[in-house]
Formats: sequence, C-alpha cells, structure tokens
Amino acid sequence: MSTPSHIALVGNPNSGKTSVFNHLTGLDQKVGNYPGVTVEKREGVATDKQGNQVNIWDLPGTYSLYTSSKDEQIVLEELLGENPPDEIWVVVDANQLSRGLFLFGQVADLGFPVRLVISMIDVLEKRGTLLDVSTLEQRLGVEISLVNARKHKSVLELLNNRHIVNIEERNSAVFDIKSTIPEALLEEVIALKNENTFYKNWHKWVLLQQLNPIIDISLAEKIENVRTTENEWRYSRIDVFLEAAFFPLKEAGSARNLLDEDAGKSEKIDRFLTHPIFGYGVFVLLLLLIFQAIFAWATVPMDIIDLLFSSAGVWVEQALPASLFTDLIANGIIPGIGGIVIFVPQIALLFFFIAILEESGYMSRLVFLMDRIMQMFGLHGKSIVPLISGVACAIPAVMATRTIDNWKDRLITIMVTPFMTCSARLPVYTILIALAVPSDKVFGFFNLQGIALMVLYLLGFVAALVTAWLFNRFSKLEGDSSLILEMPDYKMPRWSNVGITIFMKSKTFVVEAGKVIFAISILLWVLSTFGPNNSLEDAQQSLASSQNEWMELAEPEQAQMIQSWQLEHSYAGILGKFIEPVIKPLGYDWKIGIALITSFAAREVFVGTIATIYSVGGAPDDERSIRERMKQQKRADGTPVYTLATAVSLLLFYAFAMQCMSTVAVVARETNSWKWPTIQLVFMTVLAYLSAFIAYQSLS
Amino acid sequence: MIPLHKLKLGQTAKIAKMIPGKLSIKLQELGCLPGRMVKLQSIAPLGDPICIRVNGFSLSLRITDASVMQVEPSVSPSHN
Repeated sequence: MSTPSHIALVGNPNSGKTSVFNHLTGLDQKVGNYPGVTVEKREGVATDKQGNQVNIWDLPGTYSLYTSSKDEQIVLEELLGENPPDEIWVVVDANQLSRGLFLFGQVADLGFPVRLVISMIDVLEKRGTLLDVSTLEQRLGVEISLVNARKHKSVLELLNNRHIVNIEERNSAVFDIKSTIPEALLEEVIALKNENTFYKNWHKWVLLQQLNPIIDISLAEKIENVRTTENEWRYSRIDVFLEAAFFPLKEAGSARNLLDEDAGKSEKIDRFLTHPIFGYGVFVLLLLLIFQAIFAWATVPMDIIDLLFSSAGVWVEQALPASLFTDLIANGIIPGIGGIVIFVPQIALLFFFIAILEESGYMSRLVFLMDRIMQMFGLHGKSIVPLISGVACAIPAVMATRTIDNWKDRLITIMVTPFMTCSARLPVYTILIALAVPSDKVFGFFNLQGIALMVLYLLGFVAALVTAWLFNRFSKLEGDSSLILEMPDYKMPRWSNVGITIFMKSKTFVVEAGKVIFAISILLWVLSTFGPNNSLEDAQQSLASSQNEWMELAEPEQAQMIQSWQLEHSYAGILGKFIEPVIKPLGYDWKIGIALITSFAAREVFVGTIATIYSVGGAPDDERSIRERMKQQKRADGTPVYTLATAVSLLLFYAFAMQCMSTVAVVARETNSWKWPTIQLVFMTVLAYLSAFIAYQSLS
Repeated sequence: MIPLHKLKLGQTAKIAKMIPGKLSIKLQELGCLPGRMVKLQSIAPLGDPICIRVNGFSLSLRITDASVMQVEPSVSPSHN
C-alpha cells in the first residue's frame, strides 16, 4: 500500500488521540482556525522509518458523527469536504471500548480506509485485565493496533505497520442505513452526488439540512428516528463484540464485563475533591498556588527578560549613530517586542497548571463544582477556565472559551473575561497603590497595600459576574444550554503533552498579541516622537528662554527636560491636551492624558510613559524614582496632582477600561464580528469613566 | 418508573425509557439505552449537577438534562 499523504485522527475526547498526535508530530505541528468556527485546527507532519512524510490532522474529539453544534460539525465537514483524508485512524480508549466502537462503526461505514488504534492499554492492565485482541479482531473484521501513549515507540510503530482496512474487506456488517431511512427522504439522499457508500451520502444530506437556517421539526423528528434505530443496532452489536473481549491478567479470575464496573479509585478521590467543603477548599488552594506562581515565581524570569531588553535598547542607542532610525529601534521596536516577551513566563506557568488539570482529569470536576454557581450569573460551568486564565492574560483566556458549546454561554464568557485583573494591570496598580495607600499593617499581619491589591482583584471578579448577569438578563439570545460532561478516570499527566501544550499556547500568544502590540508600539513611538514643532532645536530654544538656570544644568538633566518637552509637544502630547477637558472631572491633567492615550493600546505602557513625562532619568522602570516624581507633581493652583482621590480614580479606570487592543482583536476573531468587541469596548469605557468620575468627585 | 435524578445516592437502576428529543439522542449515543444499568454516583454540593455511572464511564448532567432518562430502580439497593 502506498504511503498516504494525509491521515485524519478521529476519536472520543480523552481517548488518548492527542497523545498519539503529539507523539507522531512532536513540535512539528501548527494550530490554526477552521474558517467560520473557533475550534482549533491541529495539523502536523510525521516521518516514518523510510523518511516519508505524512500530514496528520488531529480532528476535534467527538462522540458521534451526528452533531449539535457548529463546532462539532467540523469533524464531518473535514471528512466529507473537498480535501478528504486518505486514511482515518480512529483512536479508542481500551477502557471505553463501548463508546469508542460506536464512533468507530460510524466512521468505518463512511467508506474511508480506516484503522482501529486502541490506546491506554497500560491502564487496562493495571485493572488486571487484558484485551483479547484476536477475538476482537475476528468479530470486528479489522486488524487492531495497540498503543501505550507513554511509550513513544509504540506510537511511532503505527507509521510502519500498516493495518488499514477498506470497506470492501470488512467482514463485519455495515449498518444498513438504506432500509432505515423513511421513503420520503430516500429520494433526496440519493439525489446527492453518489459517494462510495450510502452511509456517507446520508451524512452529507444530514449536514446540508443542518446548514439550513429554517428548522423543519418533522424533518428533525424523522432524522432522530433513524438515529435511534442506528444507536440500538450499533450498541447491541457492540455488546456482542465485548462479551468475550477481555480476559483476566491473573489466572484465578473470571472474564469481566468492564461496563458494569465502578470508577474505583477515581470515585474515592472524587468523594474528597467534590466534597462540599474539601472540594471548594482544594479549589481555593489551587487558585492561591496559581496566583503565587504567576506573581512570585514568574518575577525571576520576567526580571531577566526586562534586563535583557533594556540593555539591548541601551546598547543599540550607543552602538548606532544617533538618528531617528536608531531611536525607532531602541525606543520603539525593542521595547515593543520586550513588552510581549515579558509576559511569556506568566502565560507559560498558567498553561502549565491548566494543562496538568486537564491531563489529570481534574478540570471536569472543577466544572462539576462550579456549574450551578456559574449558571446563576448566566455563565456555564466551563466558563471557570477562561475566568481563571484571565488573571494572567485575557488573550489566551478568550481563546479558552472554545470549549464552551453553547453560543450564548460562550459569548457572555468572552464579554466578561477582560474584567478579570490581568497581569498587565499589575505595574499600574503597584505604583498607584504605593502612592495612595500607606504601607501600614492591619491586625499586625495584613499589609494594607496588599489588601488594597486584593480588593482590586475582587472588584474585577465581581464586575465580571455582575456584567454576565446583566447580559444574561437583557439578552434576547436563545438559551439552549446543557451540561453533558464526561468525568474521565484520574490519570497522571503525560508530561510530553503538557510540554507541547505550553509551547504551542505560548507561541500562539506571542504571535497573536505580538502582532497587535508590535504595530501599536510603533504607532505610539511615532505619535510621541513627532509633532508639528517639536524638534531638538525647538526644545532647546524654548527651554533656554523659559528655564532660569538652563545653562547651569548638567547634560543629563538637560537631556531629560528636553525629552519631556518634546513629548509634551508631540502629537501624543497635543492629543493629551485635547482630551484634558474630558478627563478633568476624573482628576486627570493632560500629562496623565498622554499616559491614558499611550496605554490604550497596552496597559503596562502607562508606567514607562509616566516616567518620560515626568522626566525620570535612569532605568525607566525604577519605581521609587517614578513615585517620588509623581508625588511632587503640582497642578496650576498648587495642589498636588496625585491625591488619594486621583489615585483611586485612576485605579478604578484601569480596573474597568478595556485598554488592550490585542484583546479587542482576539474577541473580534472569536466572535466572528466587530459588533461584539465594539459593544464590549464602549461598555467598559463608559463603566471606567463613570466609576472614576464618582470616585474622584466623592473623594476630593 | 422515576426520572434519573430522583435516585438515591449510590442507588442503581435500569433505564426504562428515554424521552425523545435532541438531548436524549445525545445520551443514547453515549450508551444510555433502555435496558442498561445506571448508578447515581454523586451529587454536586449545590444539588446540581449529578454524576452517574453508565456504560463503563462517569457522566455529569444537569438535573434538567437528566430528566429525559426514566429509570426503574433496582430492587435491592447496592451498598458501597
């Protein structure tokens, strides 16, 4: 048999399919999007012993070829579409043969060359059972390949041993769909272009009906009847297949019917992990651990990255001749890229934890615990993952909403996730809290500033829940939500899968956010460098005539003042002055206005901009010196700029405003329109403005 | 015959009827067919969702979803 060029992997969720894919392709995989839907498209390349390359597609996990949501349709659309695979490998968990063989039967009846790959043989063995492969092969009429995903070689062997079966060769009967379909529909199905099997024609026709926006109830009922008959037929045959599929590992035992068995160890663990007190307790501890990781452990690599990039910027400024181009690289491009890379440690750590929770099977328990609570706010149990992820960054969080089947649930989750306090807000919070809140201790143990930070985090979470509730209450969208969730047996995470997930997600973040942040950084550099009359000469002239001891000032001090003057008279500065009347009621002056404008693209830019505006020399992120300068700032009437009122107002603004172009872009992508991110942007901006306004007016 | 969620914790039952509908079909495809055994494995702290053992695996359902499954409780309650 010739080497295929294109293999599709199909299987239940949690069947080990993705492990097989990862083993075959390693890092030679890419993640993209199917047009029109947001399910991840995973493709990769594998190489066999002879060096032949094969394209492998990891199709989304599914329990049946019949689908209820647009995203599940992908599997069928890919198989029946214009670019069908040469072969389909159906991966089935040895411990879930019943469900797995159901899907296998459907896929095999489509008429493609198929292969049955049974995974997690090791787990089966641990239960004291072996698979009677030869009996099963006889009854199913296919050769079976066994893999243990923990043994890399066993998976690679799949490429070298070709156990493919064509439909003509299959001994076991194919489901007689033709005689099951009612007369009325038969003609329509036949009218479609003839595929090599009638079953494939049938599915093609069913898919077309689903694409029809008008739902014909009687038609749906007829299809349901066919499916009911098919279900019964398939499962009764599977029962027969499985009757003698297993035999005991030890001599003195009897052949078991695994279907009647309990979850065993997993059930015992669940009694603890879904306990009313311990269950939620473990969840809180987990959150604390994730927090600790994101905010404490990540600082080490983040500081290193920060140092690397600022050194690079300084080096470029010194190495290259002073010019606009040099400035662009040193102060536009390098900080722009640095601003993206610095978040990678936090993203990577977050996905490390999430991957472990997924791989081990715990995630479904979390959804189980949280579903009722989430529902009270118009969300879904599965919304908890994006909400937690939002604490690191909203971008991967919004993408994580893909696991939510129901469109309304997913949309609401996407709309409220940016309220979660992301790590980009942290530099802003830190400096403002240090300004406004004394570092006293309360009850001898809790730091007041720490408490202030916690309050802000809580605020974000509450805002997310309240907004979700409002959205749910006033939305006219159809709620067809349900929860049908498999709770897989607990497993030790497969570290290679975890590693690949971390790598791929971080890469996606860097590319997705990177594109936008980079473009915006350049734009901001342009706006803050150029102005109608802000050249070096203009600066020196103006400062020399307005500053009393200009000539006595040392060079570096002069340079700082020039920089600040130039910023003031740049386009960004002009914009800042332009919006001043609007932001004055919030307690801000035009200098803060500049920072608001620049950080509109990415919040963390706030600190750097402030440093430049107030002519803070040295390392632009030296918090203490920035803070000192900020304290000194005075308004026209002599009162300080950064009072408690201003600081609180700013904090609230940054808590609620959607200052992240990358998030806007990702939301547009995930909702397939600009309508929703626009609504989100407007809503959040208005909320930010109003709360900052109320805070400032009432506190001053 | 009672709806699935009315089972007692740990109780086993035989599926008597699946009330037709979109959800019902989905459950049938997972192996929830009349004649099969199910067991109410656990209930979430807030009373919803529930977790059942069926066809060799554990499945969580909201109570509103679970009502499509009508079951006949086993005569002798199982002890766990």
